[in-house]
Amino acid sequence: MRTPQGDPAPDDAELVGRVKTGDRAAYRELLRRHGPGIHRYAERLVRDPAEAEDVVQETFLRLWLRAKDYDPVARVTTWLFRITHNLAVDRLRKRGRSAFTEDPDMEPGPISVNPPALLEGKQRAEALTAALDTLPPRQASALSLVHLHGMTGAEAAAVLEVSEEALESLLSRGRRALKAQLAGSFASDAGGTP
Amino acid sequence: MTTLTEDRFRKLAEAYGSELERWPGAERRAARELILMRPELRAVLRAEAELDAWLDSARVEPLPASLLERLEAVPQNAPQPFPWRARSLLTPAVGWAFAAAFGLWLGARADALDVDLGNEDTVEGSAGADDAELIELASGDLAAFEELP
Repeated sequence: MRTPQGDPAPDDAELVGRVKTGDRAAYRELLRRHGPGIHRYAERLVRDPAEAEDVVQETFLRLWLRAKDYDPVARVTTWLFRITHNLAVDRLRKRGRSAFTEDPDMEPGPISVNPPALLEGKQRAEALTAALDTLPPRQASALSLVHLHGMTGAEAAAVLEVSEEALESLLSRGRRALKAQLAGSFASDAGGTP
Repeated sequence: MTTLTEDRFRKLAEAYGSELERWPGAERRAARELILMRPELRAVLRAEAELDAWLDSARVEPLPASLLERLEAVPQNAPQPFPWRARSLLTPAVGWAFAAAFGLWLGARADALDVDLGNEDTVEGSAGADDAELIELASGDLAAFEELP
């Protein structure tokens, strides 16, 4: 990636280093790069638009005030998602929802997708979101971090503070549950193409 | 070279899906080699591909304008990051600390000077005479007492 002047764009870690010195342009660039993903992840966790916005604001406030806490051993994305994750879990606890301490074998709720539709575009994304919402939060988070936010297993495990083995288990169970939820909408079930 | 059993291959496919790029780096190459040796394992990946297509349909939307505005205002509304805040707090603090240290040093220096002067007075000054008068009083010389101011 290059800047409009043709210089190589600074990487995330370099930008965080500049935020430490009060560089607002570096802060805005990190916001541009990661704001939408962080927002999506916060929404996935707290499932309340206003509260998700508060979590995102707190995350970026921490980036601004606590950039010195960033350890370059981890990717900036992992660090930011970890902050978001902790803030969201704190809020869920205050709300009285033990979202991340649920029975690991808990089965998802009833299906909310309209089978056997071959959904397209926005409808398809909404159906997926509805199906993800029925999963236990840790499974949904694991799937979201790996598939939507492009994290490696090790990075997602670091965000969720679990071992890679535990992450694989969350992913497997999440995928199995999603398949069950979306079964009627799968193209292979309807004889069409996805 | 990392070897991969068929069982492990299936477990990885169930967890990470059909795209080997998502699989743990250490096992990716072994997975490719296993597929070359066992082409029938492609069916395991195909079985996961449809769910992957669904998951790929989830998009990250741009931030709502009102939220973006709030987030862009964070640096204006928040205190400065630590080093800058610390500097602004430390500048007067360092000044006061320096002034206090200088004051203490001066005080200590003056005390030291007083002690020196006092010793000199004891030997040669008027205070030595006062002491002598008190000694006379203590020894019961009332005439000396009457002479005291």
